[in-house]
Amino acid sequence: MRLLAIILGMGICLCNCQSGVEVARIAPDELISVSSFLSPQDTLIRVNVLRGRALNTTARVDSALIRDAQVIITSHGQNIQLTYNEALRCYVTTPKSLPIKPSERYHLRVKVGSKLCTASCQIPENPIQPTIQPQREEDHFIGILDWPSTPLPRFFTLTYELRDVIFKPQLGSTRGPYTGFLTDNLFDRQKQNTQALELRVFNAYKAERISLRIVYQALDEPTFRYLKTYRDFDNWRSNTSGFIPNLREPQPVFSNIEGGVGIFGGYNQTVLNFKIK
Amino acid sequence: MIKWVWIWVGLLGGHLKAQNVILSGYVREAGSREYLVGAVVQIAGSSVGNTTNAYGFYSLQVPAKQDLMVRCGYVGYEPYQQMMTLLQNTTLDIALTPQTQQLQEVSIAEKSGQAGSSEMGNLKLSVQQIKDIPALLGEKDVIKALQLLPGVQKGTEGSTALYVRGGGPDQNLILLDEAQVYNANHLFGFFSVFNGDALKNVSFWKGSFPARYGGRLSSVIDLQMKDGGKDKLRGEGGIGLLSSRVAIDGPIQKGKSSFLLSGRRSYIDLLTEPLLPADSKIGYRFYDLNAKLHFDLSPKDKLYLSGYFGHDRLRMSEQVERSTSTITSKAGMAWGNATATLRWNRLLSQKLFVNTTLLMTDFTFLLFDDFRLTRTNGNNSSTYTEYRSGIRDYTVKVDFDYFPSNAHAVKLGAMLTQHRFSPRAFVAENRIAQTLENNIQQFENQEFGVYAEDTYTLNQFSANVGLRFSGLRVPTRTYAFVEPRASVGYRWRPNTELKASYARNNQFVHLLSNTGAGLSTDLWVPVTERVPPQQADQIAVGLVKRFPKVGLTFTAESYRKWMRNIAAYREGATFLILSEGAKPLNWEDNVTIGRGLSYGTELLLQKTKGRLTGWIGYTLSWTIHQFDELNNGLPFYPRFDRRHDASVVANYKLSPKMTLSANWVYATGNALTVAQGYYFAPSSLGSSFLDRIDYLGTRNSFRAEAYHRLDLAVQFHKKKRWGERTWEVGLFNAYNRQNPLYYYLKSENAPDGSGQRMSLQKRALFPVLPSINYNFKF
Repeated sequence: MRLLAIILGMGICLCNCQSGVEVARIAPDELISVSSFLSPQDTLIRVNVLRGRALNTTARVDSALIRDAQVIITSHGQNIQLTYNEALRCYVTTPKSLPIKPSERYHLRVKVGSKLCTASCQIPENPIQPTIQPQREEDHFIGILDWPSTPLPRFFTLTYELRDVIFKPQLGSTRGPYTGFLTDNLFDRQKQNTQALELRVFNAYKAERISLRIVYQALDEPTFRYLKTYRDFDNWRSNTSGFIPNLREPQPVFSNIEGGVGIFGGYNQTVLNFKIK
Repeated sequence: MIKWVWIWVGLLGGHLKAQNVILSGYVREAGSREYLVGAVVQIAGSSVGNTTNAYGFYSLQVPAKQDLMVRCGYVGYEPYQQMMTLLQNTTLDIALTPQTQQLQEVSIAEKSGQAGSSEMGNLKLSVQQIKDIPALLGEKDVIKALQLLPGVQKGTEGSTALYVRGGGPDQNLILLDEAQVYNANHLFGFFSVFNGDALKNVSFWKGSFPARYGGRLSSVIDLQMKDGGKDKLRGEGGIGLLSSRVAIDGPIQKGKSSFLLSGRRSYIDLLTEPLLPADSKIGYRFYDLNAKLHFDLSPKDKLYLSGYFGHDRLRMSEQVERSTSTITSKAGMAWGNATATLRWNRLLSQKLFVNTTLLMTDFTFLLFDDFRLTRTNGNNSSTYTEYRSGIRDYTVKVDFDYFPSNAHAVKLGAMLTQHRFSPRAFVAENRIAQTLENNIQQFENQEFGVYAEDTYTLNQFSANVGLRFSGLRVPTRTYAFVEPRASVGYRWRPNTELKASYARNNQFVHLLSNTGAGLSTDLWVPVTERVPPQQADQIAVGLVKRFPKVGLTFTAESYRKWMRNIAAYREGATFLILSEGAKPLNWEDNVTIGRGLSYGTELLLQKTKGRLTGWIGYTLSWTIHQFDELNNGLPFYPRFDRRHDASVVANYKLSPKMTLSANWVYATGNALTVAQGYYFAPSSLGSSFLDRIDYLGTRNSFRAEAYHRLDLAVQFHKKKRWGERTWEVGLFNAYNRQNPLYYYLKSENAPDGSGQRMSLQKRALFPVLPSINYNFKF
């Protein structure tokens, strides 16, 4: 009996305490997904509101749509309610009703029945256009992107594409211009050296006429984290066939929606058209 | 602090003044003269007693000119006793005779004396016990036997990874003749590298290990190879479904020197390759070799040279003939360990024993791909890609055993290790264009340690108190830590002991693992300026109650362990990153540092007498991790957190010719991060397309199905003119439980063609597996 009491005492002494771990147990059917990116360049402001889905259900967007949510975006104390658009399958409003301005903070409230999802975002400052220093290497174009030394957004993304290409294939020169890829087009200025970014257009000077369209988007932190984790998530889920275990660490997608999942983020973009030839 | 050291020194000195003579010597096995570690030597009717050290040496101070009854006991051996009257310092080498198998008493946690033993969490398994436990395909395995003990958890199905009291597989110091073994497994973790035929002793410490051990947080597995018999040639071996093994040992010069040679090889490749088509081959094999030489140079000097060499290789080759080209590709994976130990024992006096050791250990991992495209138009291409990682250590250490009095056994020592880590050596060669890209990373650092410990025994009280000073020098700084260790034991009643312990440990190496399975693909990385050493504090309390009449021993231990600076991959990271080519990748960028807490209670009831022997073990435990960069900084259960872990091991000697054995294990399922549902959200800025995103919940919020399994075996022994043979018929996973190895999402079209449907699937590994093995001994 005494032995039992000692064992019990030891167990209580060392084991009977809270682990402090809270395991999230939201049933997928009760999960609300909210997503929207705001930008001063928007022609229409959209907010997607959908229900989470359990496994073993058919993955169709229309079966997850929530059409009766109350969606409100607030800025400077002014509440704008978005209306559901059946054609676009999301909640919309116009920039006229809700102007999106740099440096402004916006708050989102989505109410579905008794469930409330909230989030906020801040639109980055207007991005400063980079300068391009063109260089030629044989028939290839190299553009060195640089920014004047002014305060710059910490997070940004950069994409570029060819425009106005006129290329006539000739014998021995059948391959026209094509762009090199940036291995990573999401940038964090605190972690990466983003001075003098290099863009390449191969065979650019074989074309008779060619331009480059560069889209430079300043991002707020939630948007940057969402896009980065989404990309890593996509790599993770495609890293297994089911026959071998996934040898990558699981990657959850970032969410800043309180009471649900998804993203409410802001960005601000500028477009630079550069004539190569 | 200094005051307490002086008080302790004073206690040592007090005992030195006693008028005694010294009785010392070695305890060996009769016949083979193999030294016995941990044998108890006592003077009957007194509190004078001691245990032999790691080389079988003991030293006692006994009253002169009195009739004394010297007794010696060791598990599995006939007790020894001799009446003596000592007039001066005397050397007495004791030879113990092995008990017959029928009478043998087995125990996995023994040390008895009049005082309570201060050793906590120390378990000893005899090689014979390991051989009696049913095993996968009949391949007996030390590590898998340890997994059946309370407080020790296995990783995934079939894996040899050990998770001790919430620690990871890297936190176990695995020593083979004092040389560290990294990634001690064959066949992707299903078998350990240790061949039981070559082993003499297995000592396992979980947590509160004494100051002489350092460099790991969770456990020490100290394996000693046999020295080899000095009287005659002996041999043993076995033929199994997966591999065969043989070990021979014997004298080089009778009574003075001996050798041991043991080897094992798998033959999956030899059996399957002839059956495969000539243009597509796949083959796997592993082998290991143990060798040891032992020389008694003089009564005071002994020399040991031992080594282990093991290697695994998986190779795939394919040749595809097309009308205008031929593709030849060869790819493979290889890994292996090598260790070498040179030891010199010298008896400086009857109270002072010194051992000097030189060690080398090497682990390498290789992944390669050799691709050749030969076209009829001569436009060929040929590339070779190789990824290597490895670790090599050179160590010098010296250890003193000093026996100032019967109440004290002092150990002092120092060690220095030169580590060379090669976490990534990537080479890509284009043989046609004659270009070579590479990214080779190497890190060197020096680990050092100095320790002192004293085992003090007085009446019902015993204590092991030690201090270790350990550190690591990296290029720009030196880490240095003081590690206090203490464990105390008190014999409360004749058969009841109470114990308590505290230990601080530091670890200067990290293991990055994606699978948690302890595979050879896991990456050993050093401590650097950015990645600090791991540290743990552990407290434990325990109770031992013996029921000698029925041969039962009950042990209960509770522990609490705090871990700091543990490393883990960041979310989304992977170990190989071959796709990044020779880009200068830094593993430190893929790592995040956090802390952990584990606590629990372990119960062990063992039966050591009679026809039926074995044990029942149960562990109730929690393990919690917290990393700023994982799970949004919130605490979470790591993959190997187990609420309940139970094992039942039974061995029944039906007759001298037949032994039945069984073991049953149960464990709470692993904590995993898997999809629990999905939702839709955009994949990029400005896109109206909504992608399906898995809803993973919080980190490791999914619990896999519980693991349980029953293994059965029957052994048929028969004495032959040349020795003894044993047939063993086994059944692994006897009731065909489909234990989960991993989970994955399976996508298939909905029957009505309305879209895709995702479902979570479990992949199991082993169904019921029968085995038959033939073992022999001469």
